[in-house]
Amino acid sequence: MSENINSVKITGWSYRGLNVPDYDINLSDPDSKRNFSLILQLSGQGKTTTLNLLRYSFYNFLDEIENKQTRKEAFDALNNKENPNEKGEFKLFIKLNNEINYTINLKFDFKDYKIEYFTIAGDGVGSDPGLNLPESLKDHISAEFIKKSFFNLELADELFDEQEKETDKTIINICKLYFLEKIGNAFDLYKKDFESKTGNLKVSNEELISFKHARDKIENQLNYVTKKENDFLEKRKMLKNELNSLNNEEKKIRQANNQINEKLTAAEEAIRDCENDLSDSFNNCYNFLKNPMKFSNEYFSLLNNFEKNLTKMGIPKSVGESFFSELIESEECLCGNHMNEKMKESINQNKLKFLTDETYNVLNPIKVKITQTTSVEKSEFDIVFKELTKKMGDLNKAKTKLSNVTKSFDQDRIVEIRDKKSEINQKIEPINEFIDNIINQKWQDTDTPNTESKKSLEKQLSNITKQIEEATDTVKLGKQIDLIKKYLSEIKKDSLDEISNSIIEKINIEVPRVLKYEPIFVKSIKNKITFKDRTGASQGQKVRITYLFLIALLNRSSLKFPFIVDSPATAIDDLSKEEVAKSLANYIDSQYIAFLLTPERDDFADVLDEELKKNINLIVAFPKNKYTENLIAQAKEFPDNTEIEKFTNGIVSYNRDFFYSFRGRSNKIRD
Amino acid sequence: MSIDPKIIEILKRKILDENQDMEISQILENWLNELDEGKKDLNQEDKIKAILDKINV
Repeated sequence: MSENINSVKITGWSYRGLNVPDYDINLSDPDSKRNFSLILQLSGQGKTTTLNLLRYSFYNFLDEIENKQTRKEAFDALNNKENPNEKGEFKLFIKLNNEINYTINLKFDFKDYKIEYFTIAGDGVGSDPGLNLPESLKDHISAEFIKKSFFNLELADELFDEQEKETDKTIINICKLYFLEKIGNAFDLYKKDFESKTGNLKVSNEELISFKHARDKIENQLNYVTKKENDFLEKRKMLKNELNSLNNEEKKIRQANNQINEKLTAAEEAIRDCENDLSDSFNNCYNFLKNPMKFSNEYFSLLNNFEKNLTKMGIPKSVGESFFSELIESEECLCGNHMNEKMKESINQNKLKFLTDETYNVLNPIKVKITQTTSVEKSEFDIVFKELTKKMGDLNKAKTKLSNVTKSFDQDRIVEIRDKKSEINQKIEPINEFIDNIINQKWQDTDTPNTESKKSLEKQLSNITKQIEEATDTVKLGKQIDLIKKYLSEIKKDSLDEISNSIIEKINIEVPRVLKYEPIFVKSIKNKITFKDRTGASQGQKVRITYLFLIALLNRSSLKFPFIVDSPATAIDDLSKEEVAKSLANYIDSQYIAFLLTPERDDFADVLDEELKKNINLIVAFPKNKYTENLIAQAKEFPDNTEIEKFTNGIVSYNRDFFYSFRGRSNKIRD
Repeated sequence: MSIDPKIIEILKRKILDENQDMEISQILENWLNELDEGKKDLNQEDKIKAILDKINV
């Protein structure tokens, strides 16, 4: 079999006894020309597990976990949560150069936290123990390469972090600039070998052995410090990711709380408005109540009759006295009641008092009031009192709303997040101290090989190397090798700079389209991504720039390796989703597999579908259990290419209509 | 597979700029490509000797 591998394509995978239903996923590839697959899943139903299983299929990250607890957690994360298994299995099916089938079988032992690999090369039935990919692939598939090719949005933060220098590391890995260092190291080994063989010793054998021991000790310490540095860098990256996710959560809570403040103000204002309205309603009601004529037709009639009689009788001021004298003689009172003796006596007793001007002044407004009061329909009366009841209800509702808004203020979680952040920062502090200070401490002639300063160890190594060169008469060889290593180092640096410039150019060509309404252009990708004329960017902008960076970078690689993305369109708005989808469809040369949630589908999946003229796998996969009964019912409506009964606890559908209908229906292209 | 063309371009330029024998860049280019192809038997010693013979300090 040819060792020259130009492309790797994933054709499918299967799960058994893992934290994902026991189903198979097949990525159809008609005429070897289908590169895109979208897998729609439910939140928390195996997206991240699958991403990790795919990573582990190419690189045994699990074996590198030395900490027992961390290792246990990594294995447990893959195991079925409800019914934990002792064993689990994942199979990955790949095709190399579009012709050679390979199966990578991962057998998990969840009891002893072990993983065993088996590889089937070609279409043979026998499997060999181990992860036996072709040698040329093994060299490509470094931990860093796999981490970048299996991309989640954490990278979007890392690429913008100066401390991590992630952009340079990524380019060095993907473009294999580290080969230049590898060649340099081969020269060092050659020199060591030459020194041990040469017969031109300028010192005694014992002295040379002592020099070599000293050099070995320094080299061992340098390797130890470098490993510690790398472990710390990895740990810091992990802690920073954790910190970023806590910061994002805190930001969201704070934004929600800001909205709560607004809601709180609005609720308080609503209460004030309701109180004013209620007060107005009370006044309206009181206006009814203080005028008995308005709320009783009987009073209205009686008083009108009284007024009519007053009018009829005249009651002129000047003739008041005679009027009352005549009234006493009448059979009937002004109000229409029969005039009895008691009334007559009363009028007689009081007539002088009533006849005063003051009495007239009292009677007259009453008369006016009576004449001005119109009859009120019962419905009008009802309206005013119903309005009062409604306003009282409104006020109660406003008060309930205020109470709900107050309850939704998540102060406890904020405190929890702050504590966690402070804990993480305490863990980061000694790492920073080691990376920024300890390993960079200047060399002093009193330093021993036990120091943790890389600078000092490098200087000590250079000194002892020179001593050995003089002792073995290999000074000229040393100078030649130093020169060739200097060239290699400069070639690496210049290549990194020029590749970076080319990537910047490619990103900036795409910016006006992908960031149409907020074009931000990349200024530099040295150590981290920075922008022209601005210092920062929103998360959505960062995600889009990260995509452009990775597309430009991965397209440089001569190996077409799958680009696998978890939640490809999260944290970006609809328009950007559309433009990112267009970039992916038009510029990605390798296979692209994305695990997405339904909110990411619209304006992303349909755009890819259109751009690719439907040459795309649209897959839905979800568990089959009592909680998904409505989804199972939905799946039954799309029986073509939907595997409903094939697997005991999961459903996989390759039906395009179902893909677009799954929890909501897109109006865009179908069929 | 092949190594990024930019690396080869810069490698050639560097050796030329330093007035070194262009055979050095050819050996290094082959070496890089062999690493990229995952070739096991690289004959590194021969390559190193050839470069050391040509390099002008």
